Amino acid sequence: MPGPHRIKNYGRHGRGDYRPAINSEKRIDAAESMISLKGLKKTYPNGFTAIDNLNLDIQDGSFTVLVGPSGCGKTTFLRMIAGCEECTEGEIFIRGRNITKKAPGDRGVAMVFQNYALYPHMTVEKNISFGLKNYGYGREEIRAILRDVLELVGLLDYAKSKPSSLSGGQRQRVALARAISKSPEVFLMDEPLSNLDARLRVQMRGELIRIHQKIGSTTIYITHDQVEAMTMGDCIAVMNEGAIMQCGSPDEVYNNPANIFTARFIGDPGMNIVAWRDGVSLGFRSSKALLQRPSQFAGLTLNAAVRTREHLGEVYRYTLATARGEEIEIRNDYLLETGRHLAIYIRGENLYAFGADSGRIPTAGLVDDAEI
Amino acid sequence: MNESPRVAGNIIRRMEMRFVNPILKSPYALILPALAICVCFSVIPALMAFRNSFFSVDYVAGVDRFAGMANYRSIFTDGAFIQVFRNTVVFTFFSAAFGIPLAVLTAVFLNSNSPLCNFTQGVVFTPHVISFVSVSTLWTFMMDPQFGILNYALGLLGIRPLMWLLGENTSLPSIIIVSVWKTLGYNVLIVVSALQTIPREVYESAMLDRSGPVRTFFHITLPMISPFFVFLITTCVAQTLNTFDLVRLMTGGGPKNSSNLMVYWIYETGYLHFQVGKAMAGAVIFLFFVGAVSLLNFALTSRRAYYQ
Repeated sequence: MPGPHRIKNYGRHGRGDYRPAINSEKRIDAAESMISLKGLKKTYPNGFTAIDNLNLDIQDGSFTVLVGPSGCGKTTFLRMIAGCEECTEGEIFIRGRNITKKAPGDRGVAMVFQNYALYPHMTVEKNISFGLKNYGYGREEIRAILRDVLELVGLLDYAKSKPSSLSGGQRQRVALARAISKSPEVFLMDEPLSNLDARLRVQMRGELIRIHQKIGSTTIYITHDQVEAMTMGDCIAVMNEGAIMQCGSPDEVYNNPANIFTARFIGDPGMNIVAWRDGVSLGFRSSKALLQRPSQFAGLTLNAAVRTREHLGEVYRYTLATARGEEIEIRNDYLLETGRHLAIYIRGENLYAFGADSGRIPTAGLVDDAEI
Repeated sequence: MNESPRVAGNIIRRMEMRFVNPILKSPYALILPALAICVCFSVIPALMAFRNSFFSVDYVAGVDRFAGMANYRSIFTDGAFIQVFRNTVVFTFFSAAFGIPLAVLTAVFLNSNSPLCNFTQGVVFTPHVISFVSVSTLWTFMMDPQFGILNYALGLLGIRPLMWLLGENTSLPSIIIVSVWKTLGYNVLIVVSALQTIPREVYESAMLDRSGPVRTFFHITLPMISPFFVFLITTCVAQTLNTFDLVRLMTGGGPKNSSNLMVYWIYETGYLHFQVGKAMAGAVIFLFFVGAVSLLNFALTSRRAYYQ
């Protein structure tokens, strides 16, 4: 039986400039979302709970990046959607269809792995056609699909090569072609670029986006690299210790972090957080720290000592220690001597406040003239 | 104060550079120790065996004269040699034909991480570390036609008792069983380590590709462990062709040479019957046979194996 979605359907969502309107305030109804995860939980036999009560809705055609530090459960999460890992609790819906108990091959998903997971003894062509044969495609159809996907990833000339003779980038493109060939409803990508060198990674990043825009399938992309998340995703889900900390557009998670974890994790460098009073912490971006007090200043004055200095080329990167020993990072083109005591100023509108539970609270009227 | 050791060290170092290094530059100097042992214990004895196969040798009577092809003629007119040769081929073939697939099945099971794994691993690997003497004694007891546990088990199934080691038709299969059992642990070890070279993600890819367990086994697992088969088949064949202990300890080649194998026949003819020339003629033929099998084995398996 041929799969439900033929390769010809490429254009289905093929809107080149497609960017779904993400608004985390609005509760997306499960019926209109592509993937819906309800109360997902994974406990391993040794008692370790990798994921606990995870709820997430992912929109049709979106490129959702799941980002978090190593060991936060993001790979487990992806493998649960793929069916490589059983769910201890909870349900997974794809297009309203409950697939929690379905076999991996029957879920309409395709996965691209960090280590490519190609079949090393098969040629590029066979790597792709192996699955297609299992899906019940005929010989002519397979030939047509092969040509399509190899052209898409630019490997038409390598159809007869073995993976061992290809470079890392080419191997990952084969893995991508193999995933695309089955025209899945959902692409799952588990850190697909982290085995590549820096230059190739940037190039492949662009290529992945191009392919996504061309075929338009919903993609869930995992990375621990927040730069990758910011540049690739049209929706970013920040994950920590098995829970989603925040989900929204790159703009949203950067400029409007919901909690301290997201604030610190997203951005390069992450947000500086200093304790203030009554359990409230204040946060600000490095770039917003001023070394001279502006006229009509309302905001936070922070006294600190320069601890280290690194020359980044365009600017210096400083780490400063506050009186309480908290470390903050600022970037500036002024040359400051280490050991020097100074005051830095952050305008009220550039400050973020977090409550005792580390969740975001309004700053309005809170910090007109604060000093630490 | 500490000058003298340093001076001595410098002298040694200079001597080394002058005299030792040039020698070590030659690859032949480096392989010399291993080569010397090989020449003493393999090449010279082989040449002597080759020479003796054309001589009539009797150490007791002090006879040592050229006999031409007489030794070769005698072994081919002697029905025993032909039978022993055939036994050896049958023994080797079936030891490998049962042993290796059984090892693969066991290894696949062990690799599945089921709760029985540790137990199975112990059971399978123990024979490998037990000496041939213990193994032979144990199986001789179990295969005893009158009191052995195997005939008792057959009786429970309603099957007539077998003669095992004492029957002309059953003695060779009996030692094949013991040989397979004894070598299983080692073979399983090799296959398990081969299976562990396959990344988990490849299996997950196969699952996502809707490949069932059987298709995955034949299209993914077997081809990916194929390089190890070259090694496994080569060692297994080399080992079973040279089997001596089992025959010596369990059957003595009998009854009527039905379980006699080449190496034991050479020993028997040369050292028990003192027909050294004849034994050496058999050994020379066997040497060429083993060489041919190894070449064939290598040619066949390396062609089909995939190397990364």
